[in-house]
Amino acid sequence: MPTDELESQLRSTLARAAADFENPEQACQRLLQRNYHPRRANRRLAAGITTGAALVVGLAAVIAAVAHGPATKTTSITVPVLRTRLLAAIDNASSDILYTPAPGQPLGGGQYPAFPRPGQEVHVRIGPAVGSDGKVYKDGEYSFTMPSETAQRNYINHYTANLDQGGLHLSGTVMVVNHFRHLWGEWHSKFILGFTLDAAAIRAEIANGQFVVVGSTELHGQRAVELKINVPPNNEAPPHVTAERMWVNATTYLPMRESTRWSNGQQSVADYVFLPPTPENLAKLRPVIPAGYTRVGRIQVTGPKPHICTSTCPPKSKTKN
Amino acid sequence: MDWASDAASKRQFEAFVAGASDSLLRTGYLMTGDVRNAEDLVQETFLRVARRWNRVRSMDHPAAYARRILINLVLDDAGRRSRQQAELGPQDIGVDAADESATRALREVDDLAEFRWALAQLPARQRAVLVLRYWEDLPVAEVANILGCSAATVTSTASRAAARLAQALTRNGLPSTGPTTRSS
Repeated sequence: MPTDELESQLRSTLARAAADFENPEQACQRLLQRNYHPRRANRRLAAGITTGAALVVGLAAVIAAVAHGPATKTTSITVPVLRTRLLAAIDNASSDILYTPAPGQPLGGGQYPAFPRPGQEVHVRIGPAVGSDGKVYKDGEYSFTMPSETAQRNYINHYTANLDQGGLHLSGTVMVVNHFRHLWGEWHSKFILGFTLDAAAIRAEIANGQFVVVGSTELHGQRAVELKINVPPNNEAPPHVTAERMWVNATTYLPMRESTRWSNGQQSVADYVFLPPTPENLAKLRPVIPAGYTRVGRIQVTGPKPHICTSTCPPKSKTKN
Repeated sequence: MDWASDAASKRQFEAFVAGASDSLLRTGYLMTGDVRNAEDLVQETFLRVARRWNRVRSMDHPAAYARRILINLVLDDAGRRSRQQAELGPQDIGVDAADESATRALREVDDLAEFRWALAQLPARQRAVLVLRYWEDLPVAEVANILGCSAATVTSTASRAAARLAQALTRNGLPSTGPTTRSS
Protein backbone atom coordinates (compact mmCIF):
# COMPACT_ATOMS: atom_id res chain seq x y z
CA MET A 1 0.00 0.00 0.00
CA PRO A 2 1.39 3.47 -0.82
CA THR A 3 2.55 5.46 2.17
CA ASP A 4 0.27 8.15 3.61
CA GLU A 5 2.67 10.79 2.41
CA LEU A 6 2.65 9.46 -1.14
CA GLU A 7 -1.14 9.25 -1.13
CA SER A 8 -1.37 12.80 0.07
CA GLN A 9 1.01 13.98 -2.67
CA LEU A 10 -0.94 12.09 -5.30
CA ARG A 11 -4.19 13.69 -4.13
CA SER A 12 -2.87 17.21 -4.18
CA THR A 13 -1.03 16.89 -7.51
CA LEU A 14 -3.98 15.27 -9.26
CA ALA A 15 -6.29 17.97 -7.85
CA ARG A 16 -3.99 20.66 -9.26
CA ALA A 17 -3.83 18.92 -12.64
CA ALA A 18 -7.63 18.52 -12.77
CA ALA A 19 -8.11 22.18 -11.83
CA ASP A 20 -5.98 23.08 -14.83
CA PHE A 21 -8.88 22.19 -17.17
CA GLU A 22 -9.47 25.30 -19.25
CA ASN A 23 -12.99 26.73 -19.48
CA PRO A 24 -14.93 23.83 -17.97
CA GLU A 25 -18.06 26.00 -17.94
CA GLN A 26 -18.00 26.30 -21.73
CA ALA A 27 -17.51 22.56 -22.12
CA CYS A 28 -20.40 21.93 -19.71
CA GLN A 29 -22.60 24.29 -21.72
CA ARG A 30 -21.73 22.51 -24.96
CA LEU A 31 -22.55 19.16 -23.37
CA LEU A 32 -25.88 20.52 -22.11
CA GLN A 33 -26.85 21.81 -25.52
CA ARG A 34 -26.47 18.46 -27.23
CA ASN A 35 -29.41 16.23 -27.95
CA TYR A 36 -29.21 12.96 -26.02
CA HIS A 37 -32.64 11.72 -26.98
CA PRO A 38 -32.22 7.96 -27.44
CA ARG A 39 -34.14 7.90 -30.72
CA ARG A 40 -33.93 11.31 -32.21
CA ALA A 41 -30.42 12.13 -31.16
CA ASN A 42 -28.82 14.35 -33.69
CA ARG A 43 -26.88 12.20 -36.07
CA ARG A 44 -24.60 15.09 -36.82
CA LEU A 45 -23.75 15.26 -33.17
CA ALA A 46 -20.53 13.39 -33.51
CA ALA A 47 -19.52 15.42 -36.51
CA GLY A 48 -19.87 18.58 -34.48
CA ILE A 49 -17.22 17.54 -32.06
CA THR A 50 -13.91 19.10 -32.71
CA THR A 51 -11.64 16.39 -33.84
CA GLY A 52 -9.21 15.88 -31.05
CA ALA A 53 -5.91 14.22 -30.88
CA ALA A 54 -5.40 10.55 -30.31
CA LEU A 55 -6.86 8.96 -27.19
CA VAL A 56 -4.28 6.28 -27.23
CA VAL A 57 -1.51 5.22 -29.50
CA GLY A 58 -3.51 3.98 -32.40
CA LEU A 59 -3.63 3.61 -36.08
CA ALA A 60 -3.64 7.26 -36.91
CA ALA A 61 -4.50 8.03 -40.46
CA VAL A 62 -4.31 11.45 -41.93
CA ILE A 63 -7.34 12.02 -44.04
CA ALA A 64 -7.32 14.80 -46.54
CA ALA A 65 -10.95 15.63 -46.18
CA VAL A 66 -12.47 17.86 -48.80
CA ALA A 67 -14.79 20.30 -47.12
CA HIS A 68 -18.04 21.55 -48.63
CA GLY A 69 -16.41 24.91 -49.14
CA PRO A 70 -13.52 25.65 -51.43
CA ALA A 71 -10.90 24.98 -48.78
CA THR A 72 -9.37 21.58 -48.29
CA LYS A 73 -8.96 20.45 -44.73
CA THR A 74 -6.65 17.87 -43.35
CA THR A 75 -8.04 16.06 -40.36
CA SER A 76 -6.33 13.43 -38.30
CA ILE A 77 -8.64 10.83 -36.87
CA THR A 78 -7.82 7.55 -35.18
CA VAL A 79 -9.53 4.21 -35.31
CA PRO A 80 -10.69 4.39 -31.65
CA VAL A 81 -12.22 7.85 -32.09
CA LEU A 82 -13.79 6.92 -35.41
CA ARG A 83 -15.12 3.71 -33.91
CA THR A 84 -16.84 5.62 -31.10
CA ARG A 85 -18.49 7.98 -33.57
CA LEU A 86 -19.57 5.20 -35.93
CA LEU A 87 -21.15 3.21 -33.13
CA ALA A 88 -22.94 6.28 -31.78
CA ALA A 89 -24.30 7.03 -35.25
CA ILE A 90 -25.45 3.45 -35.84
CA ASP A 91 -27.10 3.27 -32.44
CA ASN A 92 -28.91 6.53 -33.06
CA ALA A 93 -30.20 5.14 -36.35
CA SER A 94 -31.13 1.72 -35.01
CA SER A 95 -34.86 2.47 -35.21
CA ASP A 96 -34.68 3.76 -38.77
CA ILE A 97 -35.17 1.77 -41.95
CA LEU A 98 -32.01 0.30 -43.41
CA TYR A 99 -32.65 0.45 -47.12
CA THR A 100 -30.41 -1.16 -49.72
CA PRO A 101 -31.10 0.23 -53.17
CA ALA A 102 -30.17 -2.18 -55.92
CA PRO A 103 -27.75 -0.56 -58.38
CA GLY A 104 -29.52 0.04 -61.67
CA GLN A 105 -32.81 -1.38 -60.40
CA PRO A 106 -35.99 0.48 -59.52
CA LEU A 107 -36.52 -1.54 -56.33
CA GLY A 108 -34.26 -2.40 -53.48
CA GLY A 109 -34.32 -4.43 -50.32
CA GLY A 110 -34.13 -3.42 -46.73
CA GLN A 111 -35.28 -3.97 -43.22
CA TYR A 112 -37.09 -2.23 -40.41
CA PRO A 113 -35.89 -1.58 -37.82
CA ALA A 114 -32.34 -1.26 -39.04
CA PHE A 115 -30.83 -2.86 -35.93
CA PRO A 116 -33.61 -4.76 -34.21
CA ARG A 117 -33.48 -5.67 -30.56
CA PRO A 118 -34.44 -9.14 -29.32
CA GLY A 119 -38.21 -9.45 -29.22
CA GLN A 120 -38.85 -6.71 -31.77
CA GLU A 121 -40.92 -7.37 -34.87
CA VAL A 122 -38.79 -7.17 -37.99
CA HIS A 123 -39.74 -6.72 -41.63
CA VAL A 124 -37.23 -7.60 -44.29
CA ARG A 125 -37.59 -7.16 -48.00
CA ILE A 126 -35.10 -9.07 -50.01
CA GLY A 127 -33.94 -7.32 -53.15
CA PRO A 128 -36.40 -8.31 -55.90
CA ALA A 129 -35.17 -11.08 -58.24
CA VAL A 130 -34.50 -9.90 -61.77
CA GLY A 131 -34.70 -12.08 -64.86
CA SER A 132 -32.27 -12.05 -67.78
CA ASP A 133 -34.68 -9.73 -69.58
CA GLY A 134 -34.23 -7.16 -66.82
CA LYS A 135 -37.74 -7.59 -65.45
CA VAL A 136 -38.54 -8.30 -61.82
CA TYR A 137 -40.01 -11.77 -61.62
CA LYS A 138 -40.20 -12.29 -57.87
CA ASP A 139 -40.48 -10.11 -54.82
CA GLY A 140 -41.03 -10.89 -51.18
CA GLU A 141 -41.12 -9.88 -47.57
CA TYR A 142 -40.18 -11.74 -44.40
CA SER A 143 -41.69 -10.78 -41.05
CA PHE A 144 -40.50 -12.30 -37.81
CA THR A 145 -39.69 -11.61 -34.18
CA MET A 146 -36.04 -10.94 -33.49
CA PRO A 147 -34.55 -13.85 -31.57
CA SER A 148 -32.26 -13.74 -28.57
CA GLU A 149 -28.88 -12.07 -28.53
CA THR A 150 -27.18 -15.45 -28.24
CA ALA A 151 -28.54 -16.56 -31.58
CA GLN A 152 -27.34 -13.33 -33.15
CA ARG A 153 -23.91 -13.65 -31.62
CA ASN A 154 -23.53 -17.20 -32.84
CA TYR A 155 -24.22 -16.05 -36.33
CA ILE A 156 -21.90 -13.05 -36.19
CA ASN A 157 -19.10 -15.21 -34.85
CA HIS A 158 -19.35 -17.25 -38.03
CA TYR A 159 -20.01 -14.34 -40.29
CA THR A 160 -17.34 -15.22 -42.79
CA ALA A 161 -18.27 -18.88 -42.80
CA ASN A 162 -19.78 -20.71 -45.72
CA LEU A 163 -22.91 -18.86 -46.73
CA ASP A 164 -24.72 -22.10 -47.38
CA GLN A 165 -24.52 -22.80 -43.68
CA GLY A 166 -24.69 -19.25 -42.39
CA GLY A 167 -27.78 -17.28 -41.52
CA LEU A 168 -30.21 -16.78 -38.75
CA HIS A 169 -32.71 -19.61 -38.25
CA LEU A 170 -36.09 -17.95 -37.97
CA SER A 171 -39.75 -18.61 -38.13
CA GLY A 172 -42.32 -16.08 -39.24
CA THR A 173 -44.45 -14.92 -42.14
CA VAL A 174 -43.26 -15.07 -45.73
CA MET A 175 -44.98 -13.10 -48.44
CA VAL A 176 -44.00 -13.68 -52.05
CA VAL A 177 -45.22 -12.03 -55.24
CA ASN A 178 -44.51 -13.98 -58.43
CA HIS A 179 -44.60 -11.44 -61.26
CA PHE A 180 -43.79 -14.13 -63.81
CA ARG A 181 -46.98 -16.04 -63.03
CA HIS A 182 -49.06 -13.17 -61.66
CA LEU A 183 -49.53 -14.96 -58.35
CA TRP A 184 -48.89 -14.11 -54.75
CA GLY A 185 -49.02 -15.95 -51.46
CA GLU A 186 -48.43 -15.55 -47.75
CA TRP A 187 -47.72 -18.28 -45.24
CA HIS A 188 -46.03 -19.09 -41.97
CA SER A 189 -42.72 -20.84 -42.36
CA LYS A 190 -39.24 -21.48 -41.05
CA PHE A 191 -36.46 -19.84 -43.01
CA ILE A 192 -32.80 -18.88 -42.83
CA LEU A 193 -32.08 -15.23 -43.34
CA GLY A 194 -28.74 -13.50 -43.66
CA PHE A 195 -29.77 -9.92 -44.20
CA THR A 196 -30.73 -9.05 -40.65
CA LEU A 197 -27.46 -10.30 -39.33
CA ASP A 198 -25.53 -8.63 -42.11
CA ALA A 199 -26.65 -5.38 -40.54
CA ALA A 200 -25.67 -6.62 -37.10
CA ALA A 201 -22.36 -7.84 -38.50
CA ILE A 202 -21.58 -4.36 -39.81
CA ARG A 203 -21.99 -3.02 -36.30
CA ALA A 204 -19.98 -5.91 -34.87
CA GLU A 205 -17.14 -5.28 -37.30
CA ILE A 206 -17.01 -1.64 -36.27
CA ALA A 207 -17.36 -2.47 -32.58
CA ASN A 208 -14.43 -4.89 -32.84
CA GLY A 209 -12.34 -2.03 -34.15
CA GLN A 210 -10.69 -4.38 -36.59
CA PHE A 211 -10.39 -1.91 -39.42
CA VAL A 212 -7.99 0.65 -40.77
CA VAL A 213 -8.77 3.99 -42.33
CA VAL A 214 -7.84 3.96 -46.01
CA GLY A 215 -8.65 7.58 -46.78
CA SER A 216 -11.36 9.99 -47.76
CA THR A 217 -13.38 10.02 -50.92
CA GLU A 218 -16.71 11.14 -52.31
CA LEU A 219 -19.66 8.79 -52.67
CA HIS A 220 -23.09 9.76 -54.00
CA GLY A 221 -22.00 13.39 -53.79
CA GLN A 222 -21.16 13.16 -50.10
CA ARG A 223 -17.90 13.05 -48.21
CA ALA A 224 -17.06 9.53 -47.18
CA VAL A 225 -14.33 7.74 -45.28
CA GLU A 226 -13.12 4.45 -46.71
CA LEU A 227 -12.33 1.68 -44.25
CA LYS A 228 -10.60 -1.61 -44.82
CA ILE A 229 -12.09 -4.31 -42.61
CA ASN A 230 -9.59 -6.85 -41.35
CA VAL A 231 -10.85 -10.23 -42.47
CA PRO A 232 -9.43 -13.11 -40.45
CA PRO A 233 -8.06 -16.15 -42.33
CA ASN A 234 -10.80 -18.62 -43.14
CA ASN A 235 -10.16 -22.29 -43.83
CA GLU A 236 -13.77 -23.23 -44.28
CA ALA A 237 -15.27 -24.39 -47.54
CA PRO A 238 -15.70 -21.66 -50.15
CA PRO A 239 -17.22 -19.29 -50.88
CA HIS A 240 -16.14 -17.19 -47.95
CA VAL A 241 -15.21 -13.55 -47.58
CA THR A 242 -11.60 -12.72 -48.36
CA ALA A 243 -11.65 -8.92 -48.40
CA GLU A 244 -14.02 -6.24 -47.26
CA ARG A 245 -14.20 -2.47 -47.60
CA MET A 246 -16.70 -0.11 -46.07
CA TRP A 247 -17.47 3.51 -46.80
CA VAL A 248 -18.99 5.64 -44.07
CA ASN A 249 -20.48 9.10 -44.33
CA ALA A 250 -17.88 11.59 -43.07
CA THR A 251 -20.61 13.82 -41.65
CA THR A 252 -23.20 11.48 -40.18
CA TYR A 253 -20.80 8.54 -39.62
CA LEU A 254 -23.38 6.07 -40.96
CA PRO A 255 -22.35 3.21 -43.27
CA MET A 256 -22.91 4.03 -46.95
CA ARG A 257 -21.48 1.11 -48.87
CA GLU A 258 -19.86 -2.24 -48.31
CA SER A 259 -17.84 -4.10 -50.89
CA THR A 260 -17.13 -7.77 -50.33
CA ARG A 261 -14.78 -10.03 -52.25
CA TRP A 262 -15.35 -13.77 -52.07
CA SER A 263 -12.95 -16.67 -52.27
CA ASN A 264 -14.46 -17.72 -55.60
CA GLY A 265 -13.36 -14.39 -57.11
CA GLN A 266 -16.76 -12.78 -57.17
CA GLN A 267 -17.44 -9.40 -55.66
CA SER A 268 -20.61 -7.89 -54.27
CA VAL A 269 -21.41 -4.31 -53.47
CA ALA A 270 -24.23 -3.21 -51.18
CA ASP A 271 -25.29 0.38 -50.65
CA TYR A 272 -26.92 1.39 -47.37
CA VAL A 273 -29.36 4.21 -46.86
CA PHE A 274 -30.86 5.00 -43.47
CA LEU A 275 -34.38 6.37 -43.76
CA PRO A 276 -36.71 7.66 -41.04
CA PRO A 277 -39.65 5.26 -40.57
CA THR A 278 -42.29 7.42 -42.22
CA PRO A 279 -45.29 5.68 -43.85
CA GLU A 280 -43.88 6.57 -47.26
CA ASN A 281 -40.49 5.03 -46.47
CA LEU A 282 -42.00 1.96 -44.82
CA ALA A 283 -43.95 1.35 -48.02
CA LYS A 284 -40.62 0.81 -49.77
CA LEU A 285 -40.25 -2.41 -47.81
CA ARG A 286 -43.62 -3.79 -48.88
CA PRO A 287 -43.81 -5.67 -52.17
CA VAL A 288 -46.64 -4.35 -54.30
CA ILE A 289 -49.31 -6.82 -55.39
CA PRO A 290 -50.57 -5.58 -58.76
CA ALA A 291 -54.28 -5.70 -59.48
CA GLY A 292 -55.45 -8.98 -60.98
CA TYR A 293 -52.87 -11.18 -59.25
CA THR A 294 -54.26 -14.36 -57.69
CA ARG A 295 -53.55 -15.48 -54.15
CA VAL A 296 -52.40 -19.08 -54.12
CA GLY A 297 -50.49 -21.54 -51.93
CA ARG A 298 -46.79 -21.67 -51.28
CA ILE A 299 -45.87 -24.32 -53.87
CA GLN A 300 -47.55 -22.51 -56.72
CA VAL A 301 -45.96 -19.15 -55.86
CA THR A 302 -42.46 -20.47 -55.44
CA GLY A 303 -42.71 -22.93 -58.35
CA PRO A 304 -40.40 -23.07 -61.39
CA LYS A 305 -38.62 -19.82 -62.04
CA PRO A 306 -37.52 -18.32 -65.32
CA HIS A 307 -33.91 -18.20 -66.41
CA ILE A 308 -32.11 -15.55 -64.39
CA CYS A 309 -28.80 -13.92 -64.87
CA THR A 310 -25.91 -15.51 -63.03
CA SER A 311 -22.70 -13.95 -64.27
CA THR A 312 -23.61 -10.29 -64.05
CA CYS A 313 -25.62 -10.32 -60.85
CA PRO A 314 -23.90 -9.99 -57.51
CA PRO A 315 -23.62 -13.34 -55.68
CA LYS A 316 -25.83 -12.14 -52.89
CA SER A 317 -28.50 -14.68 -52.37
CA LYS A 318 -28.23 -15.07 -48.65
CA THR A 319 -31.80 -16.23 -48.19
CA LYS A 320 -32.86 -19.81 -48.24
CA ASN A 321 -36.48 -20.68 -48.12
CA MET B 1 -41.30 4.19 -22.23
CA ASP B 2 -39.69 7.05 -24.11
CA TRP B 3 -38.43 9.20 -21.23
CA ALA B 4 -37.46 12.08 -23.50
CA SER B 5 -41.10 12.74 -24.39
CA ASP B 6 -41.88 13.24 -20.71
CA ALA B 7 -41.00 16.81 -19.71
CA ALA B 8 -40.21 15.94 -16.10
CA SER B 9 -37.87 13.09 -17.06
CA LYS B 10 -36.19 15.29 -19.62
CA ARG B 11 -35.57 17.98 -17.00
CA GLN B 12 -34.25 15.33 -14.64
CA PHE B 13 -31.78 14.13 -17.26
CA GLU B 14 -30.69 17.68 -18.06
CA ALA B 15 -30.14 18.32 -14.38
CA PHE B 16 -28.04 15.19 -14.22
CA VAL B 17 -25.92 16.31 -17.19
CA ALA B 18 -25.48 19.75 -15.64
CA GLY B 19 -24.47 18.29 -12.29
CA ALA B 20 -22.19 15.52 -13.49
CA SER B 21 -20.40 17.24 -16.38
CA ASP B 22 -17.71 19.06 -14.44
CA SER B 23 -16.46 16.07 -12.49
CA LEU B 24 -16.63 13.75 -15.52
CA LEU B 25 -14.81 16.26 -17.72
CA ARG B 26 -11.97 16.56 -15.23
CA THR B 27 -11.76 12.79 -14.83
CA GLY B 28 -11.69 12.44 -18.61
CA TYR B 29 -9.04 15.14 -18.78
CA LEU B 30 -6.80 13.33 -16.30
CA MET B 31 -7.35 10.04 -18.10
CA THR B 32 -6.60 11.39 -21.59
CA GLY B 33 -4.54 14.52 -20.99
CA ASP B 34 -6.60 16.34 -23.60
CA VAL B 35 -9.64 18.59 -23.07
CA ARG B 36 -11.22 17.80 -26.43
CA ASN B 37 -10.93 14.09 -25.99
CA ALA B 38 -12.33 14.45 -22.50
CA GLU B 39 -15.37 16.29 -23.87
CA ASP B 40 -15.78 13.69 -26.60
CA LEU B 41 -15.69 10.88 -24.05
CA VAL B 42 -18.11 12.60 -21.68
CA GLN B 43 -20.55 13.15 -24.52
CA GLU B 44 -20.36 9.47 -25.43
CA THR B 45 -20.91 8.68 -21.75
CA PHE B 46 -24.07 10.80 -21.61
CA LEU B 47 -25.37 9.19 -24.80
CA ARG B 48 -25.01 5.79 -23.18
CA VAL B 49 -26.59 6.95 -19.95
CA ALA B 50 -29.48 8.45 -21.96
CA ARG B 51 -30.18 5.10 -23.58
CA ARG B 52 -30.74 3.60 -20.13
CA TRP B 53 -32.01 6.65 -18.33
CA ASN B 54 -35.24 4.99 -17.23
CA ARG B 55 -33.14 2.57 -15.21
CA VAL B 56 -30.21 4.82 -14.34
CA ARG B 57 -32.34 7.55 -12.78
CA SER B 58 -33.65 5.13 -10.19
CA MET B 59 -30.12 4.26 -9.07
CA ASP B 60 -28.75 5.62 -5.83
CA HIS B 61 -25.74 7.13 -7.61
CA PRO B 62 -26.34 7.76 -11.33
CA ALA B 63 -23.08 9.73 -11.44
CA ALA B 64 -21.13 6.67 -10.34
CA TYR B 65 -22.70 4.72 -13.16
CA ALA B 66 -21.67 7.43 -15.63
CA ARG B 67 -18.13 7.48 -14.22
CA ARG B 68 -17.86 3.75 -14.71
CA ILE B 69 -18.92 4.12 -18.35
CA LEU B 70 -16.37 6.87 -18.86
CA ILE B 71 -13.53 4.83 -17.39
CA ASN B 72 -14.51 1.80 -19.42
CA LEU B 73 -14.56 3.86 -22.60
CA VAL B 74 -10.94 4.85 -21.98
CA LEU B 75 -9.94 1.34 -20.99
CA ASP B 76 -11.65 -0.19 -24.00
CA ASP B 77 -9.69 2.09 -26.26
CA ALA B 78 -6.49 1.11 -24.55
CA GLY B 79 -7.03 -2.57 -25.19
CA ARG B 80 -7.73 -3.44 -21.60
CA ARG B 81 -7.84 -7.16 -21.90
CA SER B 82 -4.56 -7.64 -23.66
CA ARG B 83 -2.68 -5.65 -21.10
CA GLN B 84 -4.56 -6.42 -17.95
CA GLN B 85 -2.22 -9.16 -16.90
CA ALA B 86 0.89 -7.08 -17.31
CA GLU B 87 -0.55 -4.01 -15.64
CA LEU B 88 -2.31 -5.59 -12.72
CA GLY B 89 -0.18 -8.60 -12.02
CA PRO B 90 0.42 -9.60 -8.41
CA GLN B 91 4.20 -9.30 -8.49
CA ASP B 92 5.84 -6.24 -7.01
CA ILE B 93 9.42 -5.27 -6.29
CA GLY B 94 10.84 -2.63 -4.00
CA VAL B 95 7.57 -0.84 -3.33
CA ASP B 96 8.77 1.04 -0.23
CA ALA B 97 11.76 2.53 -1.98
CA ALA B 98 9.65 3.40 -4.98
CA ASP B 99 7.10 5.15 -2.74
CA GLU B 100 9.76 7.43 -1.30
CA SER B 101 11.07 8.28 -4.73
CA ALA B 102 7.55 8.90 -6.04
CA THR B 103 6.69 11.16 -3.10
CA ARG B 104 9.81 13.19 -3.73
CA ALA B 105 9.12 13.48 -7.46
CA LEU B 106 5.52 14.54 -6.93
CA ARG B 107 6.52 17.13 -4.34
CA GLU B 108 8.77 18.74 -6.92
CA VAL B 109 6.15 19.00 -9.66
CA ASP B 110 5.76 22.61 -10.68
CA ASP B 111 4.87 22.17 -14.33
CA LEU B 112 1.40 20.61 -14.53
CA ALA B 113 1.73 20.00 -18.29
CA GLU B 114 4.73 17.82 -17.51
CA PHE B 115 2.74 15.99 -14.86
CA ARG B 116 -0.12 15.34 -17.28
CA TRP B 117 2.37 14.08 -19.83
CA ALA B 118 3.90 11.74 -17.24
CA LEU B 119 0.44 10.53 -16.26
CA ALA B 120 -0.34 9.80 -19.91
CA GLN B 121 2.73 7.56 -20.08
CA LEU B 122 1.14 5.12 -17.64
CA PRO B 123 -0.83 2.16 -18.94
CA ALA B 124 -4.53 3.04 -18.93
CA ARG B 125 -5.46 0.83 -15.99
CA GLN B 126 -2.66 2.19 -13.81
CA ARG B 127 -3.83 5.69 -14.71
CA ALA B 128 -7.40 4.70 -13.86
CA VAL B 129 -6.34 3.44 -10.44
CA LEU B 130 -4.61 6.72 -9.60
CA VAL B 131 -7.44 8.90 -10.94
CA LEU B 132 -10.23 6.94 -9.27
CA ARG B 133 -8.42 6.46 -5.99
CA TYR B 134 -6.77 9.85 -5.53
CA TRP B 135 -8.72 12.30 -7.69
CA GLU B 136 -12.21 10.83 -7.32
CA ASP B 137 -11.23 9.75 -3.80
CA LEU B 138 -13.05 6.45 -4.10
CA PRO B 139 -12.52 3.67 -1.55
CA VAL B 140 -10.20 0.88 -2.69
CA ALA B 141 -13.11 -1.55 -2.83
CA GLU B 142 -15.05 0.67 -5.22
CA VAL B 143 -12.05 1.14 -7.49
CA ALA B 144 -11.60 -2.62 -7.49
CA ASN B 145 -15.24 -3.05 -8.38
CA ILE B 146 -15.03 -0.62 -11.31
CA LEU B 147 -11.85 -2.20 -12.66
CA GLY B 148 -12.91 -5.76 -12.00
CA CYS B 149 -9.95 -6.74 -9.82
CA SER B 150 -9.20 -7.36 -6.14
CA ALA B 151 -8.62 -4.64 -3.55
CA ALA B 152 -5.05 -5.92 -3.08
CA THR B 153 -4.41 -5.47 -6.78
CA VAL B 154 -5.63 -1.88 -6.60
CA THR B 155 -3.25 -0.98 -3.80
CA SER B 156 -0.24 -2.68 -5.36
CA THR B 157 -1.07 -1.13 -8.73
CA ALA B 158 -1.32 2.30 -7.08
CA SER B 159 2.22 1.92 -5.73
CA ARG B 160 3.57 0.68 -9.02
CA ALA B 161 1.78 3.44 -10.92
CA ALA B 162 3.17 6.08 -8.57
CA ALA B 163 6.68 4.69 -9.03
CA ARG B 164 6.30 4.74 -12.78
CA LEU B 165 4.92 8.25 -12.63
CA ALA B 166 7.95 9.35 -10.64
CA GLN B 167 10.23 7.68 -13.14
CA ALA B 168 8.63 9.58 -16.00
CA LEU B 169 8.83 12.86 -14.07
CA THR B 170 12.49 12.47 -13.16
CA ARG B 171 13.39 11.67 -16.75
CA ASN B 172 13.22 15.42 -17.04
CA GLY B 173 10.63 15.78 -19.73
CA LEU B 174 10.33 14.22 -23.09
CA PRO B 175 11.77 10.91 -24.13
CA SER B 176 14.08 10.87 -27.13
CA THR B 177 11.52 9.24 -29.42
CA GLY B 178 8.80 11.76 -28.63
CA PRO B 179 5.65 11.31 -26.62
CA THR B 180 3.50 9.05 -28.72
CA THR B 181 0.43 9.43 -26.54
CA ARG B 182 0.75 13.15 -26.20
CA SER B 183 -1.96 15.12 -27.86
CA SER B 184 -1.03 17.24 -30.79
